[in-house]
Amino acid sequence: MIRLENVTYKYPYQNKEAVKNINLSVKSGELVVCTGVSGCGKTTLIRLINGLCPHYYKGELSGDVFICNENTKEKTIGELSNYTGSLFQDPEQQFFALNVDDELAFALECKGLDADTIKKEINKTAHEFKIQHILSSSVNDLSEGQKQKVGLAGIILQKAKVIILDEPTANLDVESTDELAEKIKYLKLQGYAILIVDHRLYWTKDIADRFIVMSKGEIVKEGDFSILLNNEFRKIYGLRDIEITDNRSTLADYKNSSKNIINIENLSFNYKGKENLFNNASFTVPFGVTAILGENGAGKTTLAKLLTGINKNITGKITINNKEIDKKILVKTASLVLQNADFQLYMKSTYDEIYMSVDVSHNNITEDEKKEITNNLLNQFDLYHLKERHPQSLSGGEKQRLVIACAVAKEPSIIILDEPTSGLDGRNMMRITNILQNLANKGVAVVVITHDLELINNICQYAIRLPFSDSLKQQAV
Amino acid sequence: MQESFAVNTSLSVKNNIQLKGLYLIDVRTKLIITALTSLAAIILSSIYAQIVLLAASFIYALYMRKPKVMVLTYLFVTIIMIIAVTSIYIINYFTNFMQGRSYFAITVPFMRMVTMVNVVLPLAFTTNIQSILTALKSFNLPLFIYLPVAVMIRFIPAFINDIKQIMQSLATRGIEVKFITLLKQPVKMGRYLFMPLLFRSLRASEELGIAAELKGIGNDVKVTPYKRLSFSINDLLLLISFATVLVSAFFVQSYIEVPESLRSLHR
Amino acid sequence: MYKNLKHHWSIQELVTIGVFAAAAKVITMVVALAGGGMNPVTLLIKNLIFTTFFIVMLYKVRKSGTIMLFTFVSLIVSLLLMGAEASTSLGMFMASFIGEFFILLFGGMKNKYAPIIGVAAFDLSYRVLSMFLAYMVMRETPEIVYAVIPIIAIGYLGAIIGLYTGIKAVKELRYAGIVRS
Repeated sequence: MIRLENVTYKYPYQNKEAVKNINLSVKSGELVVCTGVSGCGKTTLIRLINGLCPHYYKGELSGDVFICNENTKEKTIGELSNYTGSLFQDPEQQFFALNVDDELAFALECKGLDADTIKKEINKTAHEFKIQHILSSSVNDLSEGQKQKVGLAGIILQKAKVIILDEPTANLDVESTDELAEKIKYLKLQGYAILIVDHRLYWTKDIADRFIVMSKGEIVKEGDFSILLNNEFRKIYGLRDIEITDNRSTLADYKNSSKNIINIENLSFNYKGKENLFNNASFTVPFGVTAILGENGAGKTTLAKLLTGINKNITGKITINNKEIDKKILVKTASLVLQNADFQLYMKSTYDEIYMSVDVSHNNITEDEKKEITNNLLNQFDLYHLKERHPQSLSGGEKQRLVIACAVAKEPSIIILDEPTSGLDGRNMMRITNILQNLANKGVAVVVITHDLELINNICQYAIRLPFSDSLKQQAV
Repeated sequence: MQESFAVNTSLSVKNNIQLKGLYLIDVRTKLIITALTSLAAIILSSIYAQIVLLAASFIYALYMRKPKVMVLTYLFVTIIMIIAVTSIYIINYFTNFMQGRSYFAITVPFMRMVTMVNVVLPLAFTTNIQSILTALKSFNLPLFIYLPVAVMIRFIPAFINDIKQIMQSLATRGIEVKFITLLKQPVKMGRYLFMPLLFRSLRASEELGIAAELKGIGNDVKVTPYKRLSFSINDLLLLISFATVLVSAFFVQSYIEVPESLRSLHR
Repeated sequence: MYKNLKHHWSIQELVTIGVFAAAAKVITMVVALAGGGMNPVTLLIKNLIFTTFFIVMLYKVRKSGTIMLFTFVSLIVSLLLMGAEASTSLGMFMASFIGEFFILLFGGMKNKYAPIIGVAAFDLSYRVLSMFLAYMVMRETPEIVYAVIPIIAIGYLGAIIGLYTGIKAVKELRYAGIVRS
């Protein structure tokens, strides 16, 4: 189904090849997983298969790519879309409509099918993917897992025989990842040829037929799961762990820790119409690294915003290091790193970005002192060589380090990070892990909201479990 | 004023559960009413004709059952009107500018405004976004018009959400988006709000463009709507009653003479 | 003619037009909300940002007719969703023709500065036409139109600064490696 023969490809304006001498084939009913550090050429591999390279990105292609025995050079992307379907990390970015059924219908409407056929097709596929109940929902209201399902259903509706998934689990929680694995297994049995590119590997262990490890544009190793077993090998190529135990239930509860940094008493906050989110909750955040755990909608992000003073509608008493804190200055002592790094970058250069944060948070020091703090932070986060670069042109891992550096600039006593490692390869994940560990060692309370089991296993010591109403009940028992 | 409507659009997607009153009227009917009534309001100049239009459009607006929205809107128009009348009163004090005419004469422009607002409010408030897209599809617009319109409608709620996130991100750095901060540092604040959204737009258009290519959406396609809108008897009745109102307004303008004191100041 | 028009813009370009129209709409709305509606500063920033987005969009979609399509699309959607002022819509749409005309006059989109020329012409003619239309609506008491003049003038000042920031934004995007050419 997918066949690449001696493929080498170079993007325009680049002097280095993005991929070199790639030979690969994926048969019908076969599932191949491709992995490697960011920038190793995985994404280019995907683009070669769906025709974006060379048709959309132009550039130079040598060798041949065959999809269902058609040479991609001789077909347009539109024609290739009859054979391949691609799903990216954030399926919402691919959606054209606001409702699920309209989204599923859109590609079919554009192909000129009549209304009855479209309806029939959608109902059939929705049944298969168990999404009938959300057909009339707005796409904005879906969970990440549901978005993936809608995206996959869209590909099936397109009648593609080759399915390409680009980092499908980056935004998924553990449960949705398991569900996705089930779905993919089902599609595999139906005879689809599937190629998955992902950093997370553990979930593919039982469903993948072959693994490919790429580095610097070349395939360095190909084989079954056993090729990944060697720890040294994984470290060299910056891969994530393969066996991940779910340690979430073994983390110590917030009540059990003695070294408290922040004490919250009688916290109450509720959205309109949603009751019992936080009712008179009292808890503590200890020194070290704490994970906020809970399902979607349990109030994890809301709690983060309350604790960092972004959301000011908070009642209750907050003490930091035994001193009662005014909610107005909470924002000065607590930092929050939100999920989407792109929204947290405003300036023209990496240096300016950090300087701005230093400037805003330090009122009583001279310009030279501010510059010194900025340079120290650049060094501390290994960003000094990038200081002239435009923040938006950095890689995912670099951006993440930069936004954490900006959050640290105000020297907070507590820092909360929302999914700091999603979409990062093993190497970059370890870097973030080390940064957070260092902060914790310096006496900052580090709190992470995360689905990333690897991160939890690496550094988290304590857990705050949401919703509070449940855990309080448990305590009473 | 325009802004206050906008935020509501993100919510209006959700409130399509209970369809009542004007929600049941086809979006195309509302479009025709809005266009023709606004046009008539601009063309007509007789104060009586304007009163006819105003009364009819007011009743129409009442049917949308959003008293709060109407009160707020009228409050806004009233404030403008008070400012205008006061300034004219002051001018008149020095120059005899009104030449003995009644102050009612200067209400015509405001009636025009209110009429236009009355017909546009139901269109904006009782139509869910997706049905607008469905309506556009059934107009058989060429793809080069339909696609950007659909994309724009699709992204407005998403961007409203993004801006909220940008403002929260700014708040985490200790920068608040408020009138005072906008006034103090307009250049910086402009940049903080603008740059993330600009990059977001560039990425979104790249990703969605690629998605379109990968979905096989080409230039030659003709969009066939899979949901259809249907005109009902209510649509017909509403259109007929508005046609009657418009005709009578023109009739009033041509046959009923306006007394000198209520005539417009400049002809 | 219609056939040519169909293939004039690529799908990618049509999507870009839609996305930028949405972004420009949303950010001007938010600025107005934060600034409390009608006041000189927000009026200025609103127009500044709109023009900047317009220029960046034109550097991404360098095809004649884009100014017209962009304005047309924003107007349709604004009208449908927010009940935009029907009276200024007409002026804006007419202004987009004038913007296109000026681009043609200066050698079409191949001209390096075509987006700037087009937007500058659009901005100016839009203001002139809005004043004319304001007069049409308020013709019985043109004194009120005088009150509108400063509002339009401040808006235009914002648009002129927007031309400058638009060029700066395009330069920055080149530096970030996002816009080529």
